[in-house]
Amino acid sequence: MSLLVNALKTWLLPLRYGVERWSYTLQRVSGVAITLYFVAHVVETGNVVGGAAVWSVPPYEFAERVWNETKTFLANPLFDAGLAVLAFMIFFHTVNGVRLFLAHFGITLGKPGRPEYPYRAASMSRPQRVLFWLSVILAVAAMVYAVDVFFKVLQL
Amino acid sequence: MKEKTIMLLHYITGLGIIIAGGVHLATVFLLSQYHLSMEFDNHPFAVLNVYRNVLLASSLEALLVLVAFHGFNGLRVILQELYQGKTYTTAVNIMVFVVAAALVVYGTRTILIAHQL
Amino acid sequence: MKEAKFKVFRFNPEGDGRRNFQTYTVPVSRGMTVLQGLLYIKEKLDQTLSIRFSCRMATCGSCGMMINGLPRLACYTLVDELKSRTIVVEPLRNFPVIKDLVTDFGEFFNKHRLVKPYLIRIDAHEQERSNTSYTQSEEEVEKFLQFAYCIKCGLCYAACPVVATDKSFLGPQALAQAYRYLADSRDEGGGERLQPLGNGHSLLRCHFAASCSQVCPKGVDPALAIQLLRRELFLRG
Repeated sequence: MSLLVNALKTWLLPLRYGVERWSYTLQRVSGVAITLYFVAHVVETGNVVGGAAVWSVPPYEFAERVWNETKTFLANPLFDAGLAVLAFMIFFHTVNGVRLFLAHFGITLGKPGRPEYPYRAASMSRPQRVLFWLSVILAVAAMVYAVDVFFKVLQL
Repeated sequence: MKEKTIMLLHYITGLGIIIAGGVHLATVFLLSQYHLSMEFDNHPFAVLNVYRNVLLASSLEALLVLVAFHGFNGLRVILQELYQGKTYTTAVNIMVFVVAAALVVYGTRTILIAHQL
Repeated sequence: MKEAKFKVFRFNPEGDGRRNFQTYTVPVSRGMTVLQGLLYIKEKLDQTLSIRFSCRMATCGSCGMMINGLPRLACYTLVDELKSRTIVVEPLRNFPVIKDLVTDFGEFFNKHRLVKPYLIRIDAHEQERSNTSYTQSEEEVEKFLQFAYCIKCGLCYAACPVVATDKSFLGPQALAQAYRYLADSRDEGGGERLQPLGNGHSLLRCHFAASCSQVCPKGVDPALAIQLLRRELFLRG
């Protein structure tokens, strides 16, 4: 149990180590959230053919009825708010993921050189930082768009 | 499979998801409106019409497989970083594969049957 | 004369085995380091305090410890820069504690040995001939020199969130040294070094949290070395 507590504290409290540590935590959290949503989404969209018990083409009206029941169940402000948060997660994870993909291949990172005090790390280069903040900004924009779509706040 | 190969697939599926996911989000939010795309049948981008279109249904199938791999591999990485015992590692590998495979089977069933409705 | 409270972690496995903090009041002056404070405690207040130190000038890598929550070298941290009257000193995270502030670096050095931290030449006896010299251009030196400044202090290892839970991850220090030798034009051990890193958790569990580069006292930037190593693994491995 203390193994789990230690792990969660290290992973979920990215304090005092700079933005890259925050990006590490957020990438993990958003990844897990998206995967859990993915499970729920595949199960929920399975209702378009009538549910889990259906393994051959069902009657059209049966499928339509089950889907409409599902649609009504999902038309819930709590779920819509959750989807807005998910929009943030998806966009952050995607753009940050592209940043990480580039970094893992050494693209956009600085070159090694002779370390001069005060040692500005080339790995935490300007393009990297720009891409990180871009992912945050795009994620917030996606969340605002989602809130507008589900709650028609901004009439975009 | 070597960890290096799995990681490479993780990058590739990630990039693939950007494309297939982009198509999916476009059909739901941009090409139509959200509440219209949730309808069963009576709209060009309603749920069944998306499944009936071979291209869109294929991209949904691709998205299913790509997200299942990318997401569950991610979960596998996180779980295996927690503890590294031999039994635990094998158990996580099997569990993750089984759940991902089950989801892909279930999702494919949805796509195939809805395509014929 | 100003004073500061040093809240120091105490643990004696051969005594009562309890882990607790003891507070000492230490007179502080401008320019004084945390190491000087700890040595004052050891000299004048409590001789039983165990600490590891040597050079006092951030070159031996012995005095790494958690000071006010971050891994730092005690000899390189001024009391003034902490901007606090209470200084919490704990042993370096992610290392087993032997006693008080002294930690066990055994596993850390094992991982370092695993990456073969020495020049590998195809002709193994070449270096025994005294008239052999390996010349390098300025560009060739700059490819790896930064990573050669590592003093093996373990601060990066303490900061890394992966090392905290994953025993089979080699850690930023070992991986940076793996790249230091790979990038050295005098080294001919390329594939031999790179192949094992493609298996298991050794290299690929780095997620670029870059905490290692944040805390490195010598500007080694292990995060850069690891990403460049990863690039080599995927493009050439």
